[in-house]
Amino acid sequence: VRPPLDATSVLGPGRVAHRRLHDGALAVAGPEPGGEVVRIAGTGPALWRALDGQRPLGEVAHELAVRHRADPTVVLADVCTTAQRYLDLGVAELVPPGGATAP
Amino acid sequence: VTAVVDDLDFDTAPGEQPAAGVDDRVDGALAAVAALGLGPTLVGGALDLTGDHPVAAPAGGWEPLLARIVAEGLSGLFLDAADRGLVALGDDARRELVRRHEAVLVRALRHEAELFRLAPVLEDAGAVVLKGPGLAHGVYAHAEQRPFTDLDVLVDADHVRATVRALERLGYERPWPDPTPRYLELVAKAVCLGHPAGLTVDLHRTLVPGPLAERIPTGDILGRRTTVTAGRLVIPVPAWEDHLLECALHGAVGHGFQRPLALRDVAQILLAAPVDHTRVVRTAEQWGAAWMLALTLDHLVARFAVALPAELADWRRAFRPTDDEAHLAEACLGTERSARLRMAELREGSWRRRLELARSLAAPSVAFLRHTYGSGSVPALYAARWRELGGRRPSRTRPSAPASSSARAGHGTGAAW
Repeated sequence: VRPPLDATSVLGPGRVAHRRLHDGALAVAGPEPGGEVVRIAGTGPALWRALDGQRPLGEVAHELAVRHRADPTVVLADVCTTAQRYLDLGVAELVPPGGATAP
Repeated sequence: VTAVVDDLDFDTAPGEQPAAGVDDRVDGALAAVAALGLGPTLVGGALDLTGDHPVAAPAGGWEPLLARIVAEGLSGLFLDAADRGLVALGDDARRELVRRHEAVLVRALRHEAELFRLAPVLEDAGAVVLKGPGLAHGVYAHAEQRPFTDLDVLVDADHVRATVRALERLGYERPWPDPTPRYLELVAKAVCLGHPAGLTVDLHRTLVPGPLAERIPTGDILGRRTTVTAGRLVIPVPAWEDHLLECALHGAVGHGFQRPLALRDVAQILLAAPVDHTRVVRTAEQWGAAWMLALTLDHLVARFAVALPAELADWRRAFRPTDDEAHLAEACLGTERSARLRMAELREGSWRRRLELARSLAAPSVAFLRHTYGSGSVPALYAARWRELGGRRPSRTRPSAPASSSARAGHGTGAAW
């Protein structure tokens, strides 16, 4: 069981293929053929692109909060929830402390 | 001779017949769409994209044209044109195009994601991925502009059978048995494998069918390979000079210049990749493909208004095909080109390949005959085969080995891009 994500968690892109849409992105995780097609919409693509395997979620949330003039605490909670969903779907991966995203 | 086992990968849509001649083959409207963003001349058929105002729906509405645009893999380019105000699609037509485009993208994504799983197989075989994902991420402005419906993988003939086995271990299946023991290594341009999840891998041992293939050293292409990166995916691809020629041959031999996207691929490599033009010409001459390259350049200029790099333009002006090249081009580009190519395959090139091909035609394996003609005694199956070779259609319970990848592997994908 993974501990819940928090401001110190670092996520990187998963092993996915993805394409831009006019209102978001489509992604398919790679490990198994015929994997689920994930539609990322709304503010989702901005968060997903920000998961670079380097910056912790707190920093990403702060940047989004400034951009959208929103409450940083609320944004961080939303970011952690959405990032968890990305992990579950395989379109993002957790980077261990001090590590980098596996190639 | 047309009614034989045919592993030629023409990717021709069912019912599609090549038109006569070379210069009038590309549908004008589709060519205009395929040329979007390349040059100033964008007029084709009912579609005039040159004006200052957005183009209105052609007579008959958008639907017939949109269907063809999607079928030809041009939906991404066309949507970009609509977004840039070149085309007045209207809300309903745009919504419908977006819906179809997303379906096209999902198909490409599923295949691209599969490359993560195939990476060790490709690495072991020293393989490269042709066209699709390498072009989408390597030379197109946006990967969405270059969809694809299968994965074309090139391996050396020595690795083709081991690679087939490796793919079978991953769940891929071959649609029919080999007609002869060395058919894969000596005759087939490619073997098509399908996965129950709806994925298709076209495993090539060479770029073109027939005698021209014997002059194309697959090992050299693999030895010069490079990579294209898409996120965490690293795609092994041919060197851009080789990839340009592969796309030119695909457009010429595979599609007789009828497929606008194939021409766009060549233009896109020419304009966006770091291409050594001298090496392109030298390699084309080595492969015996110089005339195909020259004809491709002619089409790019005539149809897409591409301004050729000076070096290539000078070479094209001076180039004259040899008799052999002209003969082969005639076989590849004329009407009934499948039959002509097959005849060229039987007449020219190495004895080993020709014997294997002749054996596959006249005396294929019983397993192949049963797959092709259904149950029956062995003499009856051979009789059916020979009747078919003689031009008479045999009665059979199953379709013959399909001539196009669209029907192969039972996935009914339509024309592959």
